[in-house]
Amino acid sequence: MKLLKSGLFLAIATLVLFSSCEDDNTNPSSDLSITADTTVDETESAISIEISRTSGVGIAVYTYTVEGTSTAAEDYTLPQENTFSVPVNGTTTLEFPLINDQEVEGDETFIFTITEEDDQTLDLGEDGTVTITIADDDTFPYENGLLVTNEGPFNTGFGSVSFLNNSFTSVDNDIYQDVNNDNLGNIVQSIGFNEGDAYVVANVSNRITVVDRFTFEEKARIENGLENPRYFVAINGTGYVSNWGDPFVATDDFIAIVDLATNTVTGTIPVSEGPERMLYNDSKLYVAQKGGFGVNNEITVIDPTTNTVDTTITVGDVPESMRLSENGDLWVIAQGSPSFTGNETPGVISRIDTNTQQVTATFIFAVDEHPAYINIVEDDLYYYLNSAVYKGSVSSFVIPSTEEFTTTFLYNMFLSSNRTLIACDAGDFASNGNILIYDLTTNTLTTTFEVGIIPGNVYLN
Amino acid sequence: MRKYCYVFVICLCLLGTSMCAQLDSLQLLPEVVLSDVKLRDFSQGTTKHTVTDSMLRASASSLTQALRQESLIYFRENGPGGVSSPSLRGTSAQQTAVVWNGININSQLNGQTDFNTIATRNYDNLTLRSGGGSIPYGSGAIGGSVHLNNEIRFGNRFENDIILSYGSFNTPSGHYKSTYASERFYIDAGVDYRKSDNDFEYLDTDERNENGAFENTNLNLNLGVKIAPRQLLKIYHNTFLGDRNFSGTLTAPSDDGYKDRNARTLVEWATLSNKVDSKLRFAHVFEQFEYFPNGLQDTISTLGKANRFTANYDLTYRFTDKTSLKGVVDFTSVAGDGTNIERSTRNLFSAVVLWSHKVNQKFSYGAQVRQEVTNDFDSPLLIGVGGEYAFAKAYTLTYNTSRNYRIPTFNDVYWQGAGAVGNRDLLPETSWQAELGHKLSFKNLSLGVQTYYIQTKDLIVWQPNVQGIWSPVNVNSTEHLGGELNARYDYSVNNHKFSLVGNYGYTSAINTETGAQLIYVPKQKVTGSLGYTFRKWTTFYQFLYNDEAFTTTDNTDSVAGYAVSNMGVSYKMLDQQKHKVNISLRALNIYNKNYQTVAFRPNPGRNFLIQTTYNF
Repeated sequence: MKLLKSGLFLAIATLVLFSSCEDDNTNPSSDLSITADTTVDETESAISIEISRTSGVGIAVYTYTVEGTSTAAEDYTLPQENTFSVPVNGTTTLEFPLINDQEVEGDETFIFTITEEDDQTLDLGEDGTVTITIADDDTFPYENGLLVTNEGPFNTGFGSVSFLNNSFTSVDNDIYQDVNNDNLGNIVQSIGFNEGDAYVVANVSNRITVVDRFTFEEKARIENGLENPRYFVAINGTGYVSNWGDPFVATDDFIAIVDLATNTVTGTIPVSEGPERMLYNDSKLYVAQKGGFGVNNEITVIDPTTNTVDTTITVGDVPESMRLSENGDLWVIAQGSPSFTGNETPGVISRIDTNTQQVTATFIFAVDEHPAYINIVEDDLYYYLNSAVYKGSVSSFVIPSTEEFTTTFLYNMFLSSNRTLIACDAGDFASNGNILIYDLTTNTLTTTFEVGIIPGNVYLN
Repeated sequence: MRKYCYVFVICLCLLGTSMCAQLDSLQLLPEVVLSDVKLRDFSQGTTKHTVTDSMLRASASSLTQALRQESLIYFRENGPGGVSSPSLRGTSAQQTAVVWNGININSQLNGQTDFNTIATRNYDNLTLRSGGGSIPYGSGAIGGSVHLNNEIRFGNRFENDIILSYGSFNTPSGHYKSTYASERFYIDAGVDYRKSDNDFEYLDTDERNENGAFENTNLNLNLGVKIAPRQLLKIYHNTFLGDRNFSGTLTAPSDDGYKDRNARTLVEWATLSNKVDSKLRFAHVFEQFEYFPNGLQDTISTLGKANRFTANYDLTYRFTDKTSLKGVVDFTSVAGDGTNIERSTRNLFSAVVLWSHKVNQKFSYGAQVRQEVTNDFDSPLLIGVGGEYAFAKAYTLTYNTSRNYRIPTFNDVYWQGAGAVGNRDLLPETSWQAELGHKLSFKNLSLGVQTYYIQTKDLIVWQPNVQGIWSPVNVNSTEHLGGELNARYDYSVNNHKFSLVGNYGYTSAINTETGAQLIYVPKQKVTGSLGYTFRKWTTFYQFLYNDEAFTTTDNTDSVAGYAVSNMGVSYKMLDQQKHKVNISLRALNIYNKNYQTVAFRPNPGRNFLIQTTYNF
């Protein structure tokens, strides 16, 4: 091993020597070579730099500088003297101890340059400098995982947000409370994102809390101009919030337009009853008009450049969820009107061409079947019906006759691109719910996490 | 339906014959006529606590206020004046029956009585009967029953009673009752009114109790006529009008408004004799609620109502002066309707037999059976036994065991809309229970110790079905195990009178599937009061402690336990035979404690009430 190391060193030294010989004209005095790892983890004990000298006479004293985006005393420790000496044909190793902080700072550079030899300015150009990257080992607490909104108890209490790490090994409940020592309000319905910010929508409290999406530190609140807010989508610096208005009035529903620079509601777009989930396909904003306490059957198409309604598309009753397929079609599940309305209608899956805004295919369930929670990954379309998960093909869709697997009563489900299904089990709605993780390659339940009361939505973070 | 009619005709015939049989009896009618004899004569082995007229008038105007300090009931009260749901021995609000002059008045729609919709000052007494009472009192008497009674008291007099009070948060209240009686005739009429802005500050915040105002009016009319030497006609009537705003919570604002319109009328024709008492009763109970999501002034509302007609024949036969048998047949027809309640009618026929035997001075026992038949569901056969044995003059052992039930309500069965649907296949909730009690009484000290066990099954729980629609199902079962201790000590020397009263309750109420304590059932409750009277002055100090109560079914969250204390002083300004004037001042929550009985609903801090009463 030692032999190998020395061999390697000799090889490098020879190489360096050879190359520095070529640059002889830029090196009026000694031939020096600097060797160091180009990337060092913040967790390592020190940055180690070897300087070898292959010409000149006696012992020479060198002065160096350290520059870069890293900071002395925060990221590493500088010795008191910024000098070192190297005998001819000798090697000196400099050690700069690293400071392993807990800050999320990203990767930083450490630029070591030799500037003087025996008090004479020395410009070795590229040969006299080395740039080392100090790799940050710290991440934000709520980065690389899933955010789960928990509605919380209706009226008496508050909702919360849970964080599940990507490897599904741990869960952190009520992260907003942990960070801000406050609550998000009553019925935490959903979250929308804009760059580094998350917008947490509390329905009964008529409040959106703006937080840093990775630290969950509160930045602002939007409390005016909302009435029963449901979902949030950001498009180019403008937020869109679906609002039911007075749930007992069918004609006062609207999309609130929010200036995200000031976090104020600057306008509204009136829509038909019960706007719920929204989806932006880089061109239009699609709003599923689920109907609130009533029944509706429209998708509103909004042009975000003019903030006006382009058109409405009629789908089945109670459009609940939407997804885009790879070819750009919009797929919508309408649950159908429930039996208690006295006019039960079947669930319907609609396929919409997002260029023409026309429904190009319709798949109708039996009248007492009310599917929900559509998800699409590649060619696979998943949905939920009566405590079971079903799977169809986007390119040749027919309503599947048998389920993929059965589960419990789900309040929502979210399919990640690596074929993991994250399902919300709200239990009895009066105690902490669970997140169920299913592996869709085997259709088996792999993990269960206890979260807050009534988990309702899941987001990648 | 036709079957019931036949039975009823037969009962009427029975009534006729029994009345004829007593014509030769010479028994005179009693001066004081109880509205509910079952409570006294057919409740062996149960624990009863009576709050008298004077206590009711002195302290309270809602049933919540009257019983919070007087009993071990936990009130899940949505702030002062808001919906108040009792939990007695860890049972639900639907498992506590409120019985008005012998008639069970729990809502046909939601199965419970909101204890803030009962004005207590027009009743002559109020009795809490702990433990199962479904056999005499019907659905819901599982944890116990609360009895509101008016007495009809003959004898020449004309009396008037006025109470005026004013409390913090702009809370005026008034009560007037006038009673006229002769040897053959009795009538009383009363009105009780209470209004409050109820906009108290939430302690430790800069918020107030928004949208909490309420205004309640209560009217009573009671009438008794001796129509023949042994025949008595009685009429009881009560109307309650409540206009309330429902306040929000710390996290959720509210604009809700709510109107209660309740009217109860009972007509009773009684024929009494040495051997046989027969009573024919007709009752009409009307209830209506109207919910205004945007406040009482708004035009948008949802409504629910139920009209109940009851005809009831009650025959008591005394074999000897120690043994009596009572049979009651009852036909009830209820019509329910509402914005979210399918128009529907429910007919119930029930037959009850109660047996009472006082074996000797020491030992008495009773046995009871009830069967109900209805078009909606199968009702269980209920049986119960109870007994009391006095081992010594100072010590009595009591025991009772019974099966009880709570029937599915109109909401449970006929709800239609707003994300929910009723279930036609529900069974009644049923319970078995047993209670062992010890009563000790000495010269100045009385002590009561009760231990009980209640097992319930087929509890009706609303939960989402596979389609996500909320619907009730018979799922849970529970076990309740608890103990209660009551003590009273009275002492007087010269003109100084002291009284010390204490109650302690321990309640374990467990969901048998999860092993978790039921929500809003604190394990412990303590109440205590110390009273001192000297000549015209009376002062009191009251103490109440409620243990932590869980708010989630997995017991992961709770409202903290708390202790609150009240103090008061009253002075008899005038104490003549014909004119009595009393003035009192009370301070509630004297230590300004910030506490909640329902999570996120703060209660008022220190507040005051001044009250004058005038009798003439």
